[in-house]
Amino acid sequence: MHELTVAIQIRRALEAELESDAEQLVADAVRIQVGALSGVVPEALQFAWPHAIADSPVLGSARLDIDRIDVQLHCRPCDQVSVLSEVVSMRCPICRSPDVEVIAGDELDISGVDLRDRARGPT
Amino acid sequence: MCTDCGCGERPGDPHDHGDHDHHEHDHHDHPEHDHPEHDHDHDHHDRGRPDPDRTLTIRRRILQHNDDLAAQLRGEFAREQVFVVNMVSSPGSGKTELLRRTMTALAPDVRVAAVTGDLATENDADRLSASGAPVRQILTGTMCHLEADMVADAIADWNLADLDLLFIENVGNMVCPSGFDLGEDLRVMLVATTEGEDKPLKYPTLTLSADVAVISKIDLAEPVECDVDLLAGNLDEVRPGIEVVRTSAKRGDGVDEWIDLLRSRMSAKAAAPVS
Repeated sequence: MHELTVAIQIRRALEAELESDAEQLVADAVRIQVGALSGVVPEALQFAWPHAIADSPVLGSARLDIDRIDVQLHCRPCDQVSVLSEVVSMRCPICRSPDVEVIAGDELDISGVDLRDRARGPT
Repeated sequence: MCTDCGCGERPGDPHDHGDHDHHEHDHHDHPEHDHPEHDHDHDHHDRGRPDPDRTLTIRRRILQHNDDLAAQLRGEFAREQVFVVNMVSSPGSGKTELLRRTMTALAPDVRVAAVTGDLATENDADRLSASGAPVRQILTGTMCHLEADMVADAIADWNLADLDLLFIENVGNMVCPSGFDLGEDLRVMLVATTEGEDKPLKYPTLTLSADVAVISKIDLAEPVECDVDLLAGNLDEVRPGIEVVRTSAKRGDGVDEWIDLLRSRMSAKAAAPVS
């Protein structure tokens, strides 16, 4: 997928969120969740991040913390939850049934941001 | 960054606040890693100013802006009873030729149109226009996929009430389009026999996002020694139960079956209550 666009979308969402406080606050870290099914490569997103935020008053020096989420399948026939180490099949690894639901792994979410008063230096 | 194109930002996108909650927390010394436990709910839904030195917990999908626009498009398509098909594949897998043939076959009794995305040239729009149907080219410049706002812009002056079926031919790319909902009813992935049997295994994310798969260029299976059954099996391995149609747009194999599939999906949508 398109990691620079994703990085820019994170920036836009957070700048809108923090718009009224941009003069007082600065972000030290942004936390996101990236599921293995999201199509986003964390390394590529990490590479794009500094370019996306370079001239942002609020986010310009923020670190990007990526929480990688493995795929978890719940198999309806055998009622087991399996964690997939890699995505090669959407069948239950135990019984091979295709009757599964994805209960984790499709995340592409912002989960939080660490803020500090602009007057204070980095902690 | 997308290694296919290194695509960048498009100007003028409005910000979207979406749905999220603010919860203020007292984490002064935030460690250097993620804590799912930060997500516990507090009662104070204070949408005011976040305190400095606080962790602001936000629940927001990163692509929410696109998802919202896609939902809006889907609503408009449903109201006007337009069936929308998003065609995704690698460059050169035969999307345009299959569409040209499909649109030509359908044009007498189905009001069909297409938008087609490419980085440059109007070639695909020119080819599809040969069907006699309305066609718009979306030139993406450096973007390697279509987003919902690009589709909305492309069809802005079309009267949807005049259409039954809209094809969206995505930019040829097996990676980037997977995460971008365009408001379609059906996402169709093409894989050509010339691409190798293991293509679905190499690109599971796009394969998983597809509703239907078309194996294209089966007339070339023999010369390139493609085992079409193995290719179909690999599609089913990644996306169990996916409907697979084998076609040659050049020779005509499978085209009737593909068109029947489209007609039956269109009828099913027309019969479903509009939400």
